[in-house]
Amino acid sequence: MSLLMYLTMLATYIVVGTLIAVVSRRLGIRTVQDYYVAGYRLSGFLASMTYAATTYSAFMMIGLVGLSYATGVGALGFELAYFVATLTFLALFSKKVWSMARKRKWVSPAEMLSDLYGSKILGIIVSLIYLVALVPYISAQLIGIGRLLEGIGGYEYYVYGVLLGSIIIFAWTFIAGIWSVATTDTYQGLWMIIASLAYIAWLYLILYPSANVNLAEVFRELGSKKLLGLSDFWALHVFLAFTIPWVFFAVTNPQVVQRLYMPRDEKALFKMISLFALFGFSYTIIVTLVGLGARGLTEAGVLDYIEVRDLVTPILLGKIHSALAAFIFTSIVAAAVSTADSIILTVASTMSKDLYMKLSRRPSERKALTIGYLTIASLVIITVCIALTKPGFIVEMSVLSSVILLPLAPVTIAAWITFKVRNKEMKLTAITSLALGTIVSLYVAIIYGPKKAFIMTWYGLPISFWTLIVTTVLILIGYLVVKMKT
Amino acid sequence: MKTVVIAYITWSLLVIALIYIIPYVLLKNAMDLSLYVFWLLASMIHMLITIAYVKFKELKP
Repeated sequence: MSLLMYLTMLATYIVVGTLIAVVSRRLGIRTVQDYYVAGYRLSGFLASMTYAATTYSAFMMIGLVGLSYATGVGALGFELAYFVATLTFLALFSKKVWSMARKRKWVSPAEMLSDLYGSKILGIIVSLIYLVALVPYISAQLIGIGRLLEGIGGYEYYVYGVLLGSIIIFAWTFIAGIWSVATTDTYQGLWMIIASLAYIAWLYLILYPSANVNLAEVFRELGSKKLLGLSDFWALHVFLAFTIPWVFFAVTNPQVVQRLYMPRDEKALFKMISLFALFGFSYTIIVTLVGLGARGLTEAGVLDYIEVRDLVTPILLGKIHSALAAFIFTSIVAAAVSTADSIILTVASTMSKDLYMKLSRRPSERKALTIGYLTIASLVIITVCIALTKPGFIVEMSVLSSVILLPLAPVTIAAWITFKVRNKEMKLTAITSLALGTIVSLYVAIIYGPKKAFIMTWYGLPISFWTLIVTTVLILIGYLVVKMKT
Repeated sequence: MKTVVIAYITWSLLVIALIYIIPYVLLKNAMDLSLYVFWLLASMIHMLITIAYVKFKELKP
């Protein structure tokens, strides 16, 4: 009965989403700009929902719920540090970037950097960094869907989950490019926020009273276990290791940078930022309260202690009415799909605009679109193959992807602040800092393993801190040399 | 316009610094929801100020 309910809900989600994607074809795709950035004419509502659904992956309902359960309130600080920094970057730079994107006809963030620095090589290096950092991240989303289905149907459902996820991702990306991605992201974003509200309402308004658990006593117990302060897990270097790459997420991750190009006018851009802020804030608060609430149930003796923190949500779903559980379960699939299809489309735009258009002697729009379609298909096949082998290191690599992308932060911010970086010195320092930062991140990941590399320290500070300092210093040297010359 | 931008940047840097400093200096051993409420309020106030700032920028040419 329960399995049938899950599959029915999943089928409903897929059918409705596919109909939305097909209808979105009517919005028209004639050029590369139409396919990847909606011809710069996305409404504020669509722009905000695609920004939110792209940003918030399955990590929230699985990873952050588990992190709050296992480590307490520190998990909220980690996620809100990202949120506050993202709003700051959006407020300071989005208008300038949005305006430049339509003037310069940018499609991909690699193209933006290549254009701002006046360097083809920089664009190519950035494209390759995206590939290295994002393929494992897409694979991790498929692994997540596979694991979810495995959880409800048994071992053999893992393969079905990966294949099903890949078909949805491929279809919803391929059908109408960003139009189908943005419209299905909106649908999925709404599903995610409604499901999270239902989840928290069920936990605190139904499960707590029905289990005769006193909320005040539970929070007293959580306090005595140090879960309302900073638990031993959240040593300062760990908090820094977690937050530094995420603080710069809005600048370094191409799938979100690209979304700044899309709003149709300034009003839509303002609406995008405001609605995303409300979505992100509510979603973060709800998810962390669910994690703390679940831990409260453990402390009250209603729930056994859950050793593997990623299993907190799946175990809680087992205690909910199957219809609500299926609804929440599908929202997690939606979160994974909406993140993966946006990344795939962004990487495809990079391949067609930054590699094909830049390297081809006679580039054409039509061929660029074909390259984009082929890239989408190839990426889906590659990530399915990776996900089917269930590699542990891929999940770890996805943790590290934000660290690999981190060297892009000073390079991008410098370009956004001055918009005058088209000179030899800045080109050279940008390329050097990108190459150095990426090589150091990859070297440390290979030598120590991605997970250890993520939280290990040099002189008491995490690798991400040193990567950020070194790349920033290099960029500053370039800037000072230019200043002295002029 | 410039004053507003500087004020917003100063505020943002301050709130980001406080998000790191206050918990480790004052609320590390919180036994109640004070740390949770601090992070929640700091980010909510920043969200409202950001929305107001973006609206202000939208209205200015």
